[in-house]
Amino acid sequence: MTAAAIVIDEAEDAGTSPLLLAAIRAAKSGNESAFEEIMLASERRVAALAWRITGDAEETKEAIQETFLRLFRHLGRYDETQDFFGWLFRIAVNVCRDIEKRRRRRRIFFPIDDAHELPSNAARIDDDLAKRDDLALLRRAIDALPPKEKLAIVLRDVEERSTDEVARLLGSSPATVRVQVMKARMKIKQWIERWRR
Amino acid sequence: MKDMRGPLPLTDDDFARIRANVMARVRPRRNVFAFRWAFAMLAAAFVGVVSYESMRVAPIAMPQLPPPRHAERSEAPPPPVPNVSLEDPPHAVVRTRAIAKPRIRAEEPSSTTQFRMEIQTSDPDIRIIWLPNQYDPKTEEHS
Repeated sequence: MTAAAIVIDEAEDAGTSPLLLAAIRAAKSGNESAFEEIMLASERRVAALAWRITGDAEETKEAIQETFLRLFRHLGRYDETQDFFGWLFRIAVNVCRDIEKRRRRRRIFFPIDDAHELPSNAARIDDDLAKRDDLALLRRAIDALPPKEKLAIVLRDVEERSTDEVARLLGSSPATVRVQVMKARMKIKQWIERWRR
Repeated sequence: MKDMRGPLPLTDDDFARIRANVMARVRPRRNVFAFRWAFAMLAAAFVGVVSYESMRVAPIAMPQLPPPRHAERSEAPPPPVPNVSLEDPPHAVVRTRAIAKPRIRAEEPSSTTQFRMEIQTSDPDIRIIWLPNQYDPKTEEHS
């Protein structure tokens, strides 16, 4: 069984494949190469999710590493009746949330001198980017959202997951996710309009 | 929104480095865990052997503790039950009454103690001195 085989199998079937399940069982019993195979089979999907949430390459790397470390720590708790990737993505979302929190805290504790200079510089750079690139503007608008709304819109509209799936990943109800997505869309629209004026 | 997806900014080398980092952090943990278990088992075996040997070579004599007071009380013989036959009339039952122990008096003065009483009269030149021959406690109590 190779990682490629697991990946191909995953592409065919949305649920947890027998090959992946066998690798999980082997990893649970302490087989390190089996754990490495699980990593190989899932790292790109975790990376894509982390990249869309954080929008930063270094933070994406940090998120992938922390996700797999947590996976190793809690693999014994994995219920084989559940979808493995759903469970793994929930870990990844939680890791990205923690990274976001840390980033926000870091923003609060900027040195006073930098705090005077940085917003004006950053605003000018972002202003130029936004005028040239709608995508950059959209990314900035999403970045300005509250964490819960940001996660909801990224998973629902960027990742194109179903509302139920997003609710499961965020540990909330589908109704809450619907409200969060609606609010996020409205805020993005207002934000972009304000920038274009 | 779909355009937001974009290509991943990570290369294969980045993924390989992440994987190596994770595996490096995972491996020593397991080794440390195994080492801790082995050490605990070894320590438990050592303690077991040492305690067994010490018990076998020199058995420790348990000190004889005096029995507790309540045990003494329970061991004391029960008070004698008078033999009363049903044929005897009830007034024939002899009841024993506890006799009060004599009180221990304060140390009495010895009979050899000499008493001396002096009475001063109105005349400064006359003074009555009484010297009794022997101490009599009865006369002392009633007077």
